[in-house]
Amino acid sequence: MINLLSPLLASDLSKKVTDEELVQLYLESQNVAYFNLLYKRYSGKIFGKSLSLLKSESEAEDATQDIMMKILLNMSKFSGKSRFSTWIYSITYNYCIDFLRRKKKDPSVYVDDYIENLDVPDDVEDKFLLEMNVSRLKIILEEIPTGDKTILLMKYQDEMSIREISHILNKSESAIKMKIKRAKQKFKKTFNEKYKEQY
Amino acid sequence: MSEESKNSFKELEKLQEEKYSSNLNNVKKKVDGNLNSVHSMLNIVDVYFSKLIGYFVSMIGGENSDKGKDV
Repeated sequence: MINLLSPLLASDLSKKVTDEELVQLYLESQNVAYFNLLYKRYSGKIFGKSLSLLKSESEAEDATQDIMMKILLNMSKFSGKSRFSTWIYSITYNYCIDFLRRKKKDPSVYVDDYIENLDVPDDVEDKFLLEMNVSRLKIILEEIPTGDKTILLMKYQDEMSIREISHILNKSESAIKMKIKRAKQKFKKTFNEKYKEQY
Repeated sequence: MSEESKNSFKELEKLQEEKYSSNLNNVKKKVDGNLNSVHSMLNIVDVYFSKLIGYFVSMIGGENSDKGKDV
């Protein structure tokens, strides 16, 4: 039988309890209410990332469902070494990348960069991306290759460190730095092509 | 002057969450269905697995400590 916490307790918990504490509470009690709180916190973010990468609402819905079940079934494997959000997002990104690879929907996510060792100047300031008008940001992110979009979302939306991204994508830290630089260059180039007449 | 650093990536994330809340309701229904199945399976395993172990123990000549207990 599924146990449910009272709505009052649940709303109280949702404000005060950290993700890591909710995981612990769920593992100890198997009470679905704790999982529901985690669902409430993260399902929208997981859906948003899946939609950004898969570009289909129905596929993003299926992905969110599968990812939430993966999280539920693997909760005991969460070691607490990273933030819970980083763990969840790593499952999300890897799921979407695998999905695109299997479907071969986007070559940019399954072809490794051949210019990894070239020196790319980092002349695009973070401020340029972070302070951009949101509707323009959305348009540019839709236009750049999925591989570049993924790494920009990890860095700027999820605020992951280089080390965290390198673990998730299974690449060296220097390769990740290079990929971020290239993604920023691509972003700015696309922006200039789209909006240059206005500047 | 209070200056909170802007992050348009976070703003975009928030807007998407609001825009697609109906999609999330669909997903929630499906996840709830899966969740019920998983917990039912876990309950079945929890209840019957110890019984099964008890039978094996009895078969090899040991004493079943579960004997006489209700399921």
